Amino acid sequence: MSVLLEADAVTRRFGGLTAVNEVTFSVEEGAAVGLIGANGAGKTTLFNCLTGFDKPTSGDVRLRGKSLLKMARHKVVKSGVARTFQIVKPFPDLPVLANVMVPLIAGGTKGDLRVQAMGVLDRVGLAHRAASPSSQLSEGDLKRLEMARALATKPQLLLLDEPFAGLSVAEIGVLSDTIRQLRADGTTLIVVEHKIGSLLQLVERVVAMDQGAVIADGEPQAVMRDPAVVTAYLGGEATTHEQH
Amino acid sequence: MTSTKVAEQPAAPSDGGSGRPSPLKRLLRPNPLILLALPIVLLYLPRFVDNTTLLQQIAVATIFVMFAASWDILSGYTGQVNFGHAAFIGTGAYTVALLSKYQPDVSNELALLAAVGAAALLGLLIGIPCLRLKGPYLALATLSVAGALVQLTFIFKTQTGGEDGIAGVKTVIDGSLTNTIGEGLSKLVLGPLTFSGLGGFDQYIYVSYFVTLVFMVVMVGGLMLLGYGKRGLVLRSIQQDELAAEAAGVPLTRYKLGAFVLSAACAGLAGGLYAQVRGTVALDLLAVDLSLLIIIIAAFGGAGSIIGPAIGAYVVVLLQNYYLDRATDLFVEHPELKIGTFALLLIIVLIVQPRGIVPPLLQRLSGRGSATRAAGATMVEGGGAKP
Repeated sequence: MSVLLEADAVTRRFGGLTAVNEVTFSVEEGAAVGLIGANGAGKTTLFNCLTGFDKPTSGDVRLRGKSLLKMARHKVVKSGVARTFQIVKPFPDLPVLANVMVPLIAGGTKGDLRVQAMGVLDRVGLAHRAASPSSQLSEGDLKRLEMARALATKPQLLLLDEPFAGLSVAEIGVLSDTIRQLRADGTTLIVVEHKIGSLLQLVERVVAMDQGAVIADGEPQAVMRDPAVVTAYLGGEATTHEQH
Repeated sequence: MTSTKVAEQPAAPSDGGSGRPSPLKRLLRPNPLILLALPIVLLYLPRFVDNTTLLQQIAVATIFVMFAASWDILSGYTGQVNFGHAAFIGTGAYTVALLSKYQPDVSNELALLAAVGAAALLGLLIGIPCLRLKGPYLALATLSVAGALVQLTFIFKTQTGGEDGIAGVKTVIDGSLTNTIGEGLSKLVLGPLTFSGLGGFDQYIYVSYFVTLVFMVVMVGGLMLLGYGKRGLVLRSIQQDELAAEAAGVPLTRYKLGAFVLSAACAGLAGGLYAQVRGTVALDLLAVDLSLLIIIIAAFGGAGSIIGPAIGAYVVVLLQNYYLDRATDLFVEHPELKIGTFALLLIIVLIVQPRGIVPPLLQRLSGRGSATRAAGATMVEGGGAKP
């Protein structure tokens, strides 16, 4: 498999605080990678740097070898990187269908936009809510709407920021099925998630961060047994990583 | 590699049947028959109303329709609230007046084009630095520009006339296009015999009336096509959440700046036309009062719908310029009370109907007022923003 995304010594400082410190890793096409770490570990800052929503202080981010750093945000999206937000950001006054039509219009999609938007909604299991105001959706449906909006940009790489946050067990199950389907369709995924048990069922690789740096990178079970991860992320209780 | 699959379209879903009034209704494209009825009524109104003072005030209100609609495509749609819209209006008006004064050979039509260009250029110059401003900072910045232009008229008092403004601007009757439109429609509506009986001031009133109507229909129609089309949907997404719009791939700068320039150009055209209707320009066309009145009109009618501010302009301007003066001498003696009255009226309207009076009214007239058909259902069925 070819390398799709490369983070090369990405560093992000806010004054005296180094939120992301010399992070280097790559993601292969078609892979599903989990990004874990305690609160404040730098996951979301890294996420923002990877998607063009923040500029690293130093280092580089490349998609298929092409740097994303000097691109405007919409061009990063156009180049194939899409994201969702930890706190969902629907267009609340627009119907669900219109939410998904916006990226199609912005991307210059030809043809019947409504049909295509319905297709994307169908893909995440939200077609039956197409006409609903997005402000009336449940948290779980909002997460799926965000995913649909990201998918409508036709991404090569989809970054999901805490997709399970705030969801019930049942909603997590439904969303997990949706993410599995995306994987089956060949979408490359990076998923930031605190609910480790649910995450490990979706990814084949985990990158663990602590204090802005990568402390472990590999197969999920190996990473979860890594002493540095146990100490930094799980507070020394290696057996409790399925608590969520 | 992965791309969105075009799936077979599932059946059109229901609106959820919540039964509650929904903000989505403003997304509904108003019934075209209702939209057509308004200009047709206005077109034939002079046949039945021989009160030329009222017709003159309707012509002024028609120009305010253009002011409000041009404000709405920027502020109502993208959420960049402009508190200095008079800057664009005044730029258009003064461009026409200065050309009339110093280059009298320039045709009225060319002068209007120059007004559009000057206002659009100002919109670009203001729009670029304003891209990063939001809320009160944007409001103050736009307000300041209008204030700065007022000061410029004093600095160049010899040319602009300062407080006195510029009189003797070539009017709509002096323009071949505007006069042809005005005379043609006057004859169509009033008949040649009636029209030949008119002369001087009355003829000017009728020509002004019809010319402003034609310009308004073209401008408002064009803005509505944009606003209710797919570009309008993108503009609305920016208003809802800029970050989410960017994540959806929306080129924010292009859309925001484009809305700024379009809004300015339309306001410049309306301002220039106003100068040709009045025959004079003065500082009231750059004043804060004018900017505030436009915001009141837009909020009263229903910002973010184009048609709302348009109808709101007729209600507010006719009340202000015609009916209130006839209701009591108080407003004649203290005209400054008018804007206060409208501010109070606006507060009441916004409490009762936060999205303005027009969009809900149009939904009811279109038979979409019962909450059984929300905007989403209409879009799924093929209305609203179409490709």
